[in-house]
This record gives sequence, structure tokens and C-alpha cells, in this order.
Amino acid sequence: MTVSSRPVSGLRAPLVVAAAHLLACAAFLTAFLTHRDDLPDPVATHFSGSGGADDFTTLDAFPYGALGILLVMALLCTGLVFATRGHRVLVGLGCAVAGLLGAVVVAVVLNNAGAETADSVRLGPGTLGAALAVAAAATALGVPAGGRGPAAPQAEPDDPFAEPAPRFALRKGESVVWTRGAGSRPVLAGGVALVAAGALMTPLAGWVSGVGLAVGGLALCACFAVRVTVDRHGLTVNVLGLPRPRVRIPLDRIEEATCRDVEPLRDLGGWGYRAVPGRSGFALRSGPAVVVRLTTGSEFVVTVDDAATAAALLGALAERERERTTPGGG
Amino acid sequence: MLVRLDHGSPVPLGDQIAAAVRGAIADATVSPGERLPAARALADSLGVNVHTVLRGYQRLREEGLIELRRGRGAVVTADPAAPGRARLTDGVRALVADARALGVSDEELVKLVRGGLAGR
Repeated sequence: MTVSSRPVSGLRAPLVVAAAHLLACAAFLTAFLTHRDDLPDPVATHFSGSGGADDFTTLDAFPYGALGILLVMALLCTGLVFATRGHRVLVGLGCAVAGLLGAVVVAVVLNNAGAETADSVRLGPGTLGAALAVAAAATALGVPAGGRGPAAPQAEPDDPFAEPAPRFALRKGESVVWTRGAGSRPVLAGGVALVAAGALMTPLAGWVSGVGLAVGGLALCACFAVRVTVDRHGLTVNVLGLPRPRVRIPLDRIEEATCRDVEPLRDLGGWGYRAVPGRSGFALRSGPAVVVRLTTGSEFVVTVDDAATAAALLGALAERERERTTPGGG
Repeated sequence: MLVRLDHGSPVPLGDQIAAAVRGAIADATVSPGERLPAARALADSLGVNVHTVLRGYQRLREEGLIELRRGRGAVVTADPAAPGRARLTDGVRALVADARALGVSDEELVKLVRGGLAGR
């Protein structure tokens, strides 16, 4: 029973999101086809903050442009939900995007149809409010329909702590450190290129865009050039080879350390420094990762080569720490 | 890279650190051109003095395996032959240890090595 139900629940959430987007497309097509003769040519398609029209599209191109946007967002949202095996936040977001886009394109059609010329078309805050309401309603309907999703990491019975970390025999009074650089060269190159582009842009296009690019590049580098260290303090992830910023899991917060294969998109919802309910950490690539179960019950993950050694050492150090803090106990 | 320090061993701590890093270079855990952890960070991890770590790094520099640069820290020599060199140095150390264990004098050992070199 459980075996046959699993694939169904895996497809349910993406199907719900896809259906929401198809509904939005259908609503747009219905509105467009019924009001086609009332529409001005060109159609007002872009609106300034005050609600007045400030950009226009020819009547012939309008339906293709609108459907194009709707379908691209449909593919994007459905793909994300599928890749994360129905993560609830993404299901909600996907439905909200469908509702918002659908309501906006329908409002654009209706407002255009009601106006004499395209210049007089308005799309005010009232429309935005209505669109947000539709988005909220879509989310409220879509999330329960999408099923429970992967939610807690414990809901993966077929992916247990597969490799019970090999024992690491610590000699008495021995001091040990395991450390290794981890990162993604292509992403790092991209980050450095962004910083360089930022430096170039500063004299050319003003410091706002320059600093923006440079900060983005630095953030990218920071998430993808890390050093992972296991020592008497616990598990430490340093960024950019600097002492700080860093993420440190002290030994006394570690329940168990294991090595496991991690898929960034599926397990952490993407690459870089990520946090999803019940799990956080650095996902720089798919493959072996040190997975630490904390005393709080959640997990900390960091993908790094030779994770098996790191996990074994971390487990042994945590055990030594427990024995030290509870004298006479075992 | 795994560094284990045995405080009870007669081998100086700096040499133990050097041996561990050399092993990591030899088995390509640390690749040529890669930066080693900062001496201060490694010393803090191991609970030893910074100078102990620096002594180990200095030894590796003398062996031509790493470069120490002001501001950049310790970097593995960007020579693709570095792992091989590290293995060779490891081999020499093993040879010396064997000779000492067998009671072979230093002069005798050098003579043996010379003979080996002259052989082919």
C-alpha cells in the first residue's frame, strides 16, 4: 500500500501547481477571447506606480507575450516543486504566483477593454489588492491540495543513516584536527567576475550599481569558498578562508554525525548556505556530506570531500566530550 | 587533511604536524597551489602554540613542498610534482627510521644510498 502510494504523492504537488498555472492561462484566454473586439490597438501592458499606462504592445503580439510569461512561470514553478519533491513553501509560492499573474493579466484585459484609448487605461492599487487576494486564495487552496510534502527530514524512511560512520579510535589525550577546503570553482569564478565587473562599473555607471555587483559577487564567493574543520571545538565552516564569518556547531550540541549523499536541490532546496525546516547547512555540490544530528533534533549538513573521515572523527570527538562532561557515566 | 598529535611521542610536535601535511600533499588530499589552514587556526584547533605549527610549516618549506608568503599564509607549491616530492621525502624519512632501528650508522646509510645512486 505504502509502496504504491509513494510515487503518486511525489507527483501530486507539481500537478497541483501546474493546474493552478493552467487555470490562470485558461482565465486569461477566456477573458481575451470574449473581449477581443473591445480591445484597443496597441494594448496598454505596463503601468507606472501611479497606475497610468506607460508602455504598450500591439494587439497581435499581446496574447503571445502574456501566454509566454504565464507558461514560463508555470514551467519554473512546477519544475522547482518537482525538484524539491513538493516542498510546501514552494507549492504555496507556485500557487501564489499563478493566482497573482492570472489575476493581473485578466485585469489588464478587462481594463483595456473598458477604456476608449490605450492611454486612458489605468491599473491602480485596487487591482493589485484584488490580485493579491486571488494569490492568497490560490495558496490557501493549493497547499492542502499539494499534500504533506517532504516536510520533516525524518520522512525519508528509505534514506536512513545509510553508512554508520566507521569508528575513529581516539588515543587518550590525543589532539586531532581534520580540515579541508570545499567549494565550487565555476561559481567562484563567477563571483570573482562579478566583483571585477562591480569595480569596472563604479567609474562607468556610478557606485550604486558597482557596489551592488561587488557585494553580490562577494556573497556568492562567501557561500562557495569554505573551509570545513573538525576539531576539539566541534564542526566549523569558515568562509573565504577568513576566521570570520563562520558557522560553528559545538561538540555538546552534536547528537550523531554521519556521512550521507546529499542532493542540494532536493535536500536543502538549492545551493549555497541554505535552511529548510529541520535542516540547514552548506550545499555546494551533490555527493557525500557530513550530516550532523543536533541535540535539538534538526540536522546540519555540509558537502565536502572525504566526509566519511570527518563524520567519524566528529562522532568520536562528540562522544569523548560526552564522557568528559558526565564523569563516571559509561 | 588529518593531523593527529601524540603528545606522548618522542617525535617533536612540529615534526608530527609536518608529517601529517606531507602525507596530505603526497596522497593529493591537498592539491598543488592550494592554501593550507592558517597557522593560528591550526594551532587553535590542536591546542598548541602557533610557533609549533610554524615550525612544522618551516620544515615543509625547507623541503620545497610549500611556500610561506607574508599575508598569504602557507600555500602548497604549485608544482604538479609536489605530491611525488612529498612521497619521496616520506620515503627518505622511512629509510632513516629503518636504518636507526637496525642500528645502521649515518655514514653507513649514506654509503648505501651512494651505492644505490651509482648502481643505476
